[in-house]
Amino acid sequence: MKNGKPLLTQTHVKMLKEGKLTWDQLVKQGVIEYLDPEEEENAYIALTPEEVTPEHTHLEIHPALVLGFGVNLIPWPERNLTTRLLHGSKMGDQGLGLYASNFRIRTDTMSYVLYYPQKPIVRTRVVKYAHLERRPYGQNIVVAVMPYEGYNMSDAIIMNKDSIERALFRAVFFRTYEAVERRYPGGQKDRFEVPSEEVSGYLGEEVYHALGEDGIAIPETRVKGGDALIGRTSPPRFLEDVAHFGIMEEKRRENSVLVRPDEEGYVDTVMITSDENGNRLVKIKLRQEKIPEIGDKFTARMGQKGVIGMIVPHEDMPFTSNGIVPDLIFNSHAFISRMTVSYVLEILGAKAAALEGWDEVDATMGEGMEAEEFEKVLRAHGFRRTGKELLYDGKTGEEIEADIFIGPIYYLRLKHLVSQKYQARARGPVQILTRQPTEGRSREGGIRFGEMERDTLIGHGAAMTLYERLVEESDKTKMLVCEKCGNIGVDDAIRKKRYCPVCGSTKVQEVEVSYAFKLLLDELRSLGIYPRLVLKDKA
Amino acid sequence: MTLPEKLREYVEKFAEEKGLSKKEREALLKKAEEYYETHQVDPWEAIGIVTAQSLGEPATQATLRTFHMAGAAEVSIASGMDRILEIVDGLKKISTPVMFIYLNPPYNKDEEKAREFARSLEEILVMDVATVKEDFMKRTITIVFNEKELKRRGVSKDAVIKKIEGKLKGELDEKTGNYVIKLPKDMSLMKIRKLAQSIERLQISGVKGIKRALVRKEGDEYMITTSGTNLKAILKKKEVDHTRTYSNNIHEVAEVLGIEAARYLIIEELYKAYMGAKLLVDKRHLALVADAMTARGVITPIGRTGIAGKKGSVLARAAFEETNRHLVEASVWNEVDYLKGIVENLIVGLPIKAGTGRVKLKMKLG
Ligand SMILES: [Zn+2]
Repeated sequence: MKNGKPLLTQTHVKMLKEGKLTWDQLVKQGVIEYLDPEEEENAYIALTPEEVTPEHTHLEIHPALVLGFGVNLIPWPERNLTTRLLHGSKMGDQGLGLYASNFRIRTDTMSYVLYYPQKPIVRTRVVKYAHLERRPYGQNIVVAVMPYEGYNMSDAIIMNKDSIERALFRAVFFRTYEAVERRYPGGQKDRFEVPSEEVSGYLGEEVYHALGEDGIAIPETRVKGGDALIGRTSPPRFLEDVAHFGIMEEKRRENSVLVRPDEEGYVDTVMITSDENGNRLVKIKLRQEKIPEIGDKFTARMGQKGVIGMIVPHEDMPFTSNGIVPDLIFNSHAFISRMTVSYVLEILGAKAAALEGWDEVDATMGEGMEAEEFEKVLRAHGFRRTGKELLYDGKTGEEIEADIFIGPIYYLRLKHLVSQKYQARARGPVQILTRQPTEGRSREGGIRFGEMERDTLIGHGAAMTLYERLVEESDKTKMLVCEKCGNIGVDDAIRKKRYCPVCGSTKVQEVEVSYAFKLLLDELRSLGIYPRLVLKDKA
Repeated sequence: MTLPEKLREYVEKFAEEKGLSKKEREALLKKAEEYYETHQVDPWEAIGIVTAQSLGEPATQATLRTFHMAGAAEVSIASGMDRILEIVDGLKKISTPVMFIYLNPPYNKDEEKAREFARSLEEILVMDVATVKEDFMKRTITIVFNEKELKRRGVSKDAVIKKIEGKLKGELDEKTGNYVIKLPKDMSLMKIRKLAQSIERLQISGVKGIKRALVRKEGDEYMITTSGTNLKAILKKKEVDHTRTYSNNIHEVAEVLGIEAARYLIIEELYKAYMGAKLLVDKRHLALVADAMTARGVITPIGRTGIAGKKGSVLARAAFEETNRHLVEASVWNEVDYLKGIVENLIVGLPIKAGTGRVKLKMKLG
């Protein structure tokens, strides 16, 4: 942006500050220029004003801007491995917080709001410019870095039960359900109402307990999975059928909006409006409280993520001689290969800030505060300069032999909650076409015993285990096979006769196969391929 | 159970080297027999899948990097995943064809002689020692010699000219030292270009296909590694010890030395590739792969076009790839699936015929 000197001058900066000039004006004047990655290839960009030479074509506004927004939220980004920064910036936007200050009147399909979001003690200047101080996405918590009885190995974390009960990282989850009163050709319409018993597909009184007279759930009622939020009936599918029977009353169909099977909570907001076609539209927000539990995911900003492995009562947590009990215990082994220096720095910085009453510790890339400053503060307050302290075991009261690194750090609660992820089944629905168990959590599905799992059983020679998994526990069926021509036979239960519909032979045998195979035979036949089964005596 | 001949020889040789007494020797042999017996595969064990998993899992760990010895007087050889795939896919054109030539005495003890022989193997083309220029206006082809290259490769100018004259007669320009060929005025431009290119590719000396030959000391003898292979031509040379010389091209070895040699080469080359990536695998897994690839008398690649595509069962083939084609063809040819393999039985919904699914129990009466 210059001919040997930056086009942006102190005058510009002064005018910007006084509000006499806007950013857009500067862009229009060509003082500030946006470069795309390909333009960058042909530009010679100086990072700092000091290194500018006549050959330079551009000057970065600030060195930190070579990094993206997400990475710039990480304290001291220049002191971490690139992979960690990538992880950290990716997780930054999954953190629960105050995502919009008008969240109460918004109708996002899904949204999470943290109960008590805090601005980070240690932060980069980008946090301020992005207004994230007013819309924070995490909390400052006290972390002790140590293993704890093996419950925090492999990136698990230990959480203090009492902290959780004091609403640490408590969040609320909103899901918006909606329904439209559709108009059908022929003048018929959907109707919001409490379905009466005559309606076909009536689900029972219990299901409609939350509905008011208008068929719409009443705010602040508690509902569980399967309850109706919006009662709706639709006109019958085939008009003619009804007309033929003259006297028969028009039987409407049940078409209510139900709470998802794995959700429960309170009816939060009810909005009644109309859609673009003038049909009545109802949106209901379901509010669910999400308290941290074993399996929920948390992370510090520099990509040190983990799930809760254990929730420990306050009295069993280690404590310092000052009586400080950590909110979270983080395993020291997580540092060795990842080398997240800024995790350590942040604890040091935040600890110093807490002692000294600083509002902010600057950790902007290249100009963040140095560890020496924190060490000085810690020392002046009678702490060890390393940030380590003597801790006592909460269970025995004995001193812990090693000194434990402990202090405050900013943590995020990520939007991957176990309560919305776990799945298991012993029995359940099957697919109509293949008769195999359904797939997916929302369909109460099983976990797929896939090809690679299959290979392991073959490799062990566990033939009967494999048979049980793939046939007995899955889609086993009996089918009749003609001994003569090998086609599938018929069992006529009324005439008590089993025969082959192709050749007429009554010599048919019952064979156990997987339903998927019978389906395969049927499909082959529909393609004009004629598969025959040759039967042999069971050896 | 007695040991196979080869293993027995191996054990005996080992005993001899260690100077064991007769009693010790017998004890060792007995122990070896015991080991041999306990290390055999159980009846109906699914060795195919065990092999696939034993080779496949470590391969996922292998980096896809190829190590290049920069600048060093070394013939670079593809390694790691690339090489494994190359072998298993049975590629005819491999990325780094290499020959390992062992020499007969006295060449294997005399570095100078070995070097001289190596130089005589390198294929030298006209384009290596000279630049061929066409002049379309004057209808001439001029060969400009590169004196430096001529000297380096030990080729005389006359030898090159003689080779060219075998194809086309020209004249040596005394002033410039270039060799000029005059062409008829009515020759088409296309033909001139083609002629010039064929002159460029004229072979002056060496063995066809061998780009480089380097002498290396292995143990107490000198041997030659080459990039580019021509096993057939090399084995005919009297300086070469044809009992040990080989190339890393499986197809070439199968053709020149036979399928059994190729089988052995597959094992050794796979082993080298795995060991190069510091992955430990049992050689018997590799032997199974090699057996499967060579059992038909020709190199059969693993995969759709090879082994998997030639399975006996329709259902097994259809389950793997190109389902429609296999099913339609099977119906046209009235194929019967006897449900002998594993995949077929899984599809039909029967217990597989391997492992515990194969054995039957009979009650002993009384
Ligand atoms: Zn029949």
